[in-house]
Amino acid sequence: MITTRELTKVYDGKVAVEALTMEIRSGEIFGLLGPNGAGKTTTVRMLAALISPTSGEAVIGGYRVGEQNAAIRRLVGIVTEAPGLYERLSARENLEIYAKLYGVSNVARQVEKYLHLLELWDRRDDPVGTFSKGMKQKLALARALVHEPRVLLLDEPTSGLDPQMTKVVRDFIADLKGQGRTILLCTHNLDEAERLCDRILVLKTRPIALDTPQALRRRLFGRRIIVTLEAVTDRILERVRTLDFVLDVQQEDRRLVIALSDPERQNPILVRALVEVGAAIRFLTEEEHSLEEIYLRLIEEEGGMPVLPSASDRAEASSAR
Amino acid sequence: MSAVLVILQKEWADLRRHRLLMLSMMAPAVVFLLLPFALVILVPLLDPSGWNDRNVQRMAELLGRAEPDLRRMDPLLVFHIYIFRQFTLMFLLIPILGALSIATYSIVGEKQNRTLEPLLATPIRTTELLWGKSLAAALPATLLTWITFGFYVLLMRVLSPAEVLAHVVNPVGLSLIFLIGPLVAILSLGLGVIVSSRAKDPRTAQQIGVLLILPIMALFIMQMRGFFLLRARWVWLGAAVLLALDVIILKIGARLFQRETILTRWT
Repeated sequence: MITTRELTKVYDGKVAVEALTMEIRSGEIFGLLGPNGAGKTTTVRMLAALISPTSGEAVIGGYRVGEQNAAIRRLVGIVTEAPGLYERLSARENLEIYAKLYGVSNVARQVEKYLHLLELWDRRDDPVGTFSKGMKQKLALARALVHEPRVLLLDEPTSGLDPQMTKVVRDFIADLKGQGRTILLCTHNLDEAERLCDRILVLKTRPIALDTPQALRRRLFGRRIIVTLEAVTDRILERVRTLDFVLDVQQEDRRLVIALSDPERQNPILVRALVEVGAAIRFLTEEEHSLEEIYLRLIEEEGGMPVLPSASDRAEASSAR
Repeated sequence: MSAVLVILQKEWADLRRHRLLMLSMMAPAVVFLLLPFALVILVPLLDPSGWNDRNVQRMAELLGRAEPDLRRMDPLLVFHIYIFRQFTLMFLLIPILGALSIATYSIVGEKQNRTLEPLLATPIRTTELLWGKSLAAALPATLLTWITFGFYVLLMRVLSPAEVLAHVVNPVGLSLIFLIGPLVAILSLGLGVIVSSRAKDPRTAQQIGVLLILPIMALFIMQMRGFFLLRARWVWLGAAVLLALDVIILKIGARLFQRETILTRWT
């Protein structure tokens, strides 16, 4: 649905986004992560045909940014970092303006639909200036959806919201995915990205890494099993080390942290071997790394990790072209 | 519905709820409407001998040279004509201030509230947006001028003799209100658009209005001092100059009013 190739934006000699190549599949939620000033908003603006790329190309729903901008704008809905609502106008008036600008055929029906869906119907005639931040954010979402776009660009949609409202907005975004919309989600909230996104791209002007959170986790940290025993003896340690599929083993008190390439296949063999040497196993779990750990490592090691689009991404991007 | 009309509707819906802005537009109109009547009624009452001073006499002489029938008129009525003509010129401040206030509030306000980005993400063309905003500023300012002038004429009809009205509502007066008025409104909003691209606050942007107010005030003072009398052909020449200026200013405004420029260069 969205393909970019070597997309670059330079403002007054300062590179905001450099050589961004990615492919966002139809119906997926794609997370764009990165520190402040990493180029996330610039990327969103290019994809919304608000600013033109300095070089490279972006194609959205078959339309090329810079050449078919009007078609792209009809296809895309955007939630900007600030809700950007007309505060003296009512919720209904705000939505009506956008529905008309997008050329929606039945304005009243669409406006009513989204005011109901986002639970704003009871406040439809109140000035938006009287709304809470969460309500404004919901209205901004409704505004982005009023013309039923196939692509949604969400720039920090839960920024500054309380946990309860964050959950409401997040659940709504998850529901949108179920409707087959393609969603690009820019966020600083790594927990949100983990919960919502099928794949993530870490951007720091240049793209640093692109994959599913799970795949990135494996690529960065490998897969490690934590075996908690009643006691760790030299014999047990020795036995683990002799297993040819064990990549690494470390002892942390009564725990063994064992790096494996394929835990699903190797765990039963490992457990049998441990039991054979008299190990009393209390727990066996896979070590989990949060997306935050992945993100921080990627940002810290920027430039040192060639984890740009996976082979499957590259193949799909090239076939799309 | 055309995008221009949608923007026009939106701007006016917003304007109607902005009491301070409405008040700041209405206040000069009310002052310029009532002040000349206060002057023609109160000045002779408060200063029975001093009202017909040197300036008034010089102007009466000028008026008499241009329109000989005024020489036979009661000096007090000539004073009325003098004051009412002067304030017809002041009426030009209504479209200048009105259009500038609306245009700067509309654009700087959108910048402050960060409403431009979602608006520019719609399929609207920037020319449509600029047209919508320009009409939203120019039409009410011009209409307000015309309506105020309508009340002005009505009050003159009620409070002054008919010959006064005939000498005020003449080609010069009508050209000022119905020709120069819309042209200065357009010039004012064009300047408003240009200056709004840099200003962070509507009031800062409105300071550009001084550029337009000063020539009007200069004309007012020079005519009041009896240096010259505004003639119809000068007004029409001024209209031609204003038209050319309007085209130049609107072209500059349209060049600034591009999506990328608005999002990346407007501070």
